[in-house]
Amino acid sequence: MVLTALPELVASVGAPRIVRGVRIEHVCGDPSLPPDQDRALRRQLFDTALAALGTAVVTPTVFEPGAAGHAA
Amino acid sequence: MRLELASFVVSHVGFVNDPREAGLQGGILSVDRAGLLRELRADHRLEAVDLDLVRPGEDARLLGLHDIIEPRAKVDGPGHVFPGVASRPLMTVGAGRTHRVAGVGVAACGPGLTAFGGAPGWHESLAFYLDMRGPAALPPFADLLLVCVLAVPRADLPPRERAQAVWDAALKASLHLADLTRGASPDALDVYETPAVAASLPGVVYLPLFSSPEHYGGSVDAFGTSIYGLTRLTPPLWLHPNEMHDGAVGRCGTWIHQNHPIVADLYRAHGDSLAFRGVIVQRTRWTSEPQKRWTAQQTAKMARMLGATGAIVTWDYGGNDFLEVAYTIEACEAAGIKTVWVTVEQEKAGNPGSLLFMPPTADAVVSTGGLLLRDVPPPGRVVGFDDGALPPGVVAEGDQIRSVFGEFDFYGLRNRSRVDF
Repeated sequence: MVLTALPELVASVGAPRIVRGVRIEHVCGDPSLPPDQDRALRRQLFDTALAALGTAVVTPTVFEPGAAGHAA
Repeated sequence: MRLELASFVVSHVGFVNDPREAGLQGGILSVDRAGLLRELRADHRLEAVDLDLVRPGEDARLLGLHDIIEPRAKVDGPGHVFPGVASRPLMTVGAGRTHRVAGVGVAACGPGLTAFGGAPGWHESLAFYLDMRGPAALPPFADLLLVCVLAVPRADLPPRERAQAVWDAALKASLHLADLTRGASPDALDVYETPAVAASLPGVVYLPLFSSPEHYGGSVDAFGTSIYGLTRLTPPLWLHPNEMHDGAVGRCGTWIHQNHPIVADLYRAHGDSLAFRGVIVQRTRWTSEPQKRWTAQQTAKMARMLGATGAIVTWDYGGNDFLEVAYTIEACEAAGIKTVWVTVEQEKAGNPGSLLFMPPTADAVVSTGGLLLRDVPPPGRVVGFDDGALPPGVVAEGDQIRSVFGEFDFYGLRNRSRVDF
């Protein structure tokens, strides 16, 4: 499972599970947000990553944080 | 737009004590050292400034090199030779008459920061160097007579101010030197304009991609290549080739942009084998894939609207900047514009290389090679500032390797075909 701001690139090299991160320079959170909102975002990314790890996939699959059911 | 570029060839630079002896005579540039230092020391951002001279072939190394600038002066027509930079007039350039001092460069040297970044945690790279003799005496820079501006910014200033202060000192020195050509007659005069040409000639655009460390360096104007004074991520800009020749782009190798080989070549071919439709400048290192596609697609659209059927693409960095290059090539090819990509091949041992993937439509790539210099003998003298990471005489130790100014030949200043290798 790869958490990245460049999901197309990572999918093109065959990583099975990809979670879309925030930005290249800060993938796992957003320092421009107030601390509690940043923490909530980081939690959401983490939950998406965990759910992705538990999902069977056939081809490289991008998981969007916050999307219902997670898989894009 | 009509630009007259008047060249004054200098074969020797010297300092004089008497300001009345300053000037340009018979190819000899005499500089009022005390007067220039007084001018540079007036900047309160600087703790200390000094001047030095190095010549091609001299057993000397420049260290802590930020930039090399060709001295220029706008003597007629609108604008400034460094437009929009550090409060200088912001006006479209590329018209009127500009003087250039050929054979001379002003080397901006400062401690700590490099021109590409310096905010804590980002790009704390080793000080750039240039030797005037030996394997690290890279043309064209080591073939110039270099007036070195050694500027120490105040340590209490933030990185942006420190970087700007060092560069500004070198720009002031460049203007001071170029002013010595006023009233003299040039050794050569080149006229640049793009008259309408036969409709049958294919339209070609030049698409340079310049990395912007805006999100890393925290500045809109102090780190990375500057376009009319801005280094920030901006949408694509359409420039007339004269703007490239007259100072619109600078900062990371200002001398290169002032003497851009690809712009010059396309200009020579204009009206002959092609119609040079201009330069579409992009920024790279956008923070997500959609943003990278955004700039590429706008560029391809602009190129198509300009009637281009061919494009030359270059870039100036590495890493994820490659995505903008790939997307630009893909978008241009999809719009019916044949592209050629001119690039370096990446360099440092252990680095897998610049090509993260190869778009199927990127079938025409020119490589200017790669350069990795480890065995460089220590010089007789060192001018400038070291970073403390390696001794000034040493360029490589284990994983730490200093970069030579201009080692990444993004524009084909050196090897341009396989015959040259």
